[in-house]
Amino acid sequence: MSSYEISKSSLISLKAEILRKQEELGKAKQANSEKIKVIKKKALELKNKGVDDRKLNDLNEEEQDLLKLSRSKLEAKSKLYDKLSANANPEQNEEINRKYLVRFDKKQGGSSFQSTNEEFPEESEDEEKHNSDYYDDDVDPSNEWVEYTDCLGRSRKCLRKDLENIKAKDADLKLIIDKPQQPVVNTEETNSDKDKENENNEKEKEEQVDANIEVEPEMISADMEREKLRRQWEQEEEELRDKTNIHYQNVLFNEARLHGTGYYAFSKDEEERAKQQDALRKLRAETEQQQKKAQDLKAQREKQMAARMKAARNRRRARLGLPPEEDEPEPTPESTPDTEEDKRKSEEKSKEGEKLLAEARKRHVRPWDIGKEGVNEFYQMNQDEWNEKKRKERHSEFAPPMTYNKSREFSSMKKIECDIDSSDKSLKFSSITPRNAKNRHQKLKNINPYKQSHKTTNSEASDDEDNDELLKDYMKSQPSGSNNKTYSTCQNTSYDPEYPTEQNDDVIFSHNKISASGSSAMNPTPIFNEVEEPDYNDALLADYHKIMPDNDEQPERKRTEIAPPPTYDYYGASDSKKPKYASGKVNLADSIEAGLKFLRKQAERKSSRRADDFEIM
Amino acid sequence: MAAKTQNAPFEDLSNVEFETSEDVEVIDTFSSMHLKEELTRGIYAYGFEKPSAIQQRAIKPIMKGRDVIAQAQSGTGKTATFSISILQSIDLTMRETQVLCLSPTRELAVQIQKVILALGDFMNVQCHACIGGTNLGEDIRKLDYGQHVVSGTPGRVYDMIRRRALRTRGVKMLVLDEADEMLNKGFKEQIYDVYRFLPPSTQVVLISATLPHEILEITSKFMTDPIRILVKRDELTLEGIKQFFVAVEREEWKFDTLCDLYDTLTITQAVIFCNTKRKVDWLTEKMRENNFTVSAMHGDMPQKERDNIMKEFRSGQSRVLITTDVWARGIDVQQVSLVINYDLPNNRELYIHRIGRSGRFGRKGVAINFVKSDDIRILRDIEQYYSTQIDEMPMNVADLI
Repeated sequence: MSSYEISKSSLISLKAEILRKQEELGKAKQANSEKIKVIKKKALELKNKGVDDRKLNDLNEEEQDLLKLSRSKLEAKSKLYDKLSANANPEQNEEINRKYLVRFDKKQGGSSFQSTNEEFPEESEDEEKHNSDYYDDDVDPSNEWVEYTDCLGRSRKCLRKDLENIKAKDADLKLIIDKPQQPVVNTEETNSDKDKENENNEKEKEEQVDANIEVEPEMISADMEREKLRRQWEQEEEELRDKTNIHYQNVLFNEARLHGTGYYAFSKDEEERAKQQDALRKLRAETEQQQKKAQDLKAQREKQMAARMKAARNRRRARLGLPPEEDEPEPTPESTPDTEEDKRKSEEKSKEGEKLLAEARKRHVRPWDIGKEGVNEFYQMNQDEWNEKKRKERHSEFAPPMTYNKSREFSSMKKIECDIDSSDKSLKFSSITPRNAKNRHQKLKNINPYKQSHKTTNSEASDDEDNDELLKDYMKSQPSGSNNKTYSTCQNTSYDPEYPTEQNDDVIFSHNKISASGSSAMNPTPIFNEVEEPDYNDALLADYHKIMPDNDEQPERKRTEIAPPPTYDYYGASDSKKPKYASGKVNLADSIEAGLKFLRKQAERKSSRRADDFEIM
Repeated sequence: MAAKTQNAPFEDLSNVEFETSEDVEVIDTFSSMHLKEELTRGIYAYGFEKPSAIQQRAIKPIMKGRDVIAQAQSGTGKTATFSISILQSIDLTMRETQVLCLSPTRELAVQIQKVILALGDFMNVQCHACIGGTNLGEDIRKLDYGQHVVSGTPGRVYDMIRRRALRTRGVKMLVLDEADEMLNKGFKEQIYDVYRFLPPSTQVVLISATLPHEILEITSKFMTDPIRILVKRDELTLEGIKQFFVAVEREEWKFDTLCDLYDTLTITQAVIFCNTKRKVDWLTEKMRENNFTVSAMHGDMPQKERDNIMKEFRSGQSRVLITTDVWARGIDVQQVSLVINYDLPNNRELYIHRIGRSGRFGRKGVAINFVKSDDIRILRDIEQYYSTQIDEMPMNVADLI
């Protein structure tokens, strides 16, 4: 087989083809890479337009400001520095030296400048050393710290090896300090106060000069600042002196007070202030308007929303084949009329009460007001108050009987009791002292008509003691029990169940009656304890109390009244003591026995007396 | 009933226990007090957000025109309470004195003027401080301009009334700040003198952190059925003010203790109380000799100097103030967080007032009492009386400030 015949032209064309393809590829690559780049850039540039510009702007502004500020400060500082160091006047220099604690005069020469330059690192080194020393407690004796007092009276520390060096410097400093003070002292000696003022004035002048080159606050000592503030305050006060309107900002005087967020420092100038207030008012009105608008909008939206919801519901109902929702009556806030009525009533009541109180307050006259124009010389009472006052003054013995006022019955009694107790001091009822009162108490008891009516059946006074003895027996024989109440009730309501009587029958009779009436007299009437003597100071009044319940009860009597036995003892006046009753259940047998015993004794006595009588006759 | 009982003007009240009135309404926001809009704005601007307990209770009755006796712990906004009520009840269209406010010290009177001006900043209220030690002519001129409110000390106010510079015809309300001090022996006569010039039945408001019984007794002489808002004495000390004591054996050691504490004093601001003016001078001198920066103030200084020292202290220029009881009551400097009783106060009430110079309106405070061994008994008595706690001072007292 023969070799293929390859024409040159075809070869060349192939080559050309390859080259073309390569070229295409290269082009495509290039084009692609460009595309990719573009896409990437776009992804990164998803920022809003102009943001970068703005950012640049902001940055510039801030930074520029800062730069400007620091630059101006530095400039001012260097100016001041230059001025101070270039100052030739030695007197002023001294002043300055004292003020700034920097030795500008020394800095004038290059050498001194260098020396100060040397000083600083030394000091810082010292400090470092100091610190390190402080922490790890070393070291060799030459590095030991020593304390010394400098010419200003400050106690300082330094390394032992530096001591001499520092002392030399200290001496220098002393020289400098001593010099300027002398002339000042001299002038002050002549006339102290005025010169001080002069000095102040000088200082002021100087400060004004200084102010021209912007003195930085850091460069002023605390005393100077205080002085400056004082002057400022004085000036402010001076301005206030002629002002008709004074406001908070005028009297604030640099007070370090935390205000609320809403605080607005108005201008001290009246016009400016008015303007600011106007502006604020306008802003406020605007805010209110906006708020209202927003609220309206919200309400409207809610309404729309509700309507839409309703429509949706209705559609669903329609799909289910139900009739559309009925319009619900709006739930009106209707509370029950009753409670509302009550509320209103109670409110009215409280209002009325308040009104009354207010009136009373108006009528009230304060003691410190008496004698003022339009005020009565004395306190003017109304009728009620007058009555009340007069009632209080009245002697209780002349008061209308308490039966007049039934509702008062017991509470009033108690009140009076209290009054009596307290009357010890106020001498309301009697002028007797407590000690005397006791005696009188006894006396009064004896002449008390009420007591008399309770005296025993026996007329003979001489028999009293015997009778008492008997009575004790009797009382012993009467056990106290649940019938107490009924018994005592009967005592009050029926005729006095006097015991002892002369006949057994009577005793029995009375007891029967008691038991009979007991059931009907169950209604609770207060127990009147006669056994125990109540602690009254005024016996008469105490008796009053004892009588009162009887009187009160009288109209309530319903049982038939049985006439008392027509004995002399009952009707006749007798001085002998009446026995007291023990309240309690009556044991029939016992009482009969006691009664019999009593009768027997009496009979015996009678007989013996008769014999006596006979003898007398 | 209430009207009846108090209508008997000469009742003996020594056995009556005074209690807070029953029907005191509590209103817990400023906005629901129905105040003038400008006033509400002033209140918020001054830094109040929610009314304190006393403000919730006392503002309404004062506004309604009732006589009020209000007691509340120190630094809980009593001055603002009556200032708000005053501002609410004055008629700004009339430029005459409608409210008279009396306080025991000139500094306090000036401070009250400041508070009223601050709260009434948006109302453009006019309030004048009528205090002694100032130029009489100037005072007269200022009063001539017409002031809605006059805040002053009794002496100068009485003087101004007698000179007819201060016309009392329009006065609707009399406020006695630090009422217990004002009705004490020294001041009562002067108060009476001023009161005699006021229209009858002028509304009277008494305010103080301490209201002893004998003061409450005499209130019936010039008040009508007052609303009482009182605080029991075991609730009178504030939780926020921690109280300590340092026991020293000898008086001289107090000074050394104070020097040791100086760094703590200057953390914020501190007030040191001595019992006499001389001692204030002495202590100040001694502190300065030892290179401590302190300022001092007492009643024997010229008013100008007193003013300046107050301003310096208020502006934070000075941080440590040595003073007498002239500073004990009412003075409000927010940054004061430490009070030192170099001497124990002469009575229990003063103790409450002194320690109340710190811990203003909810801030923290510390009170340190220097006690000699025989003073400890007094301190224990105070502790028991107010059922509070006064411990020995801990090492880390600086952390509590």
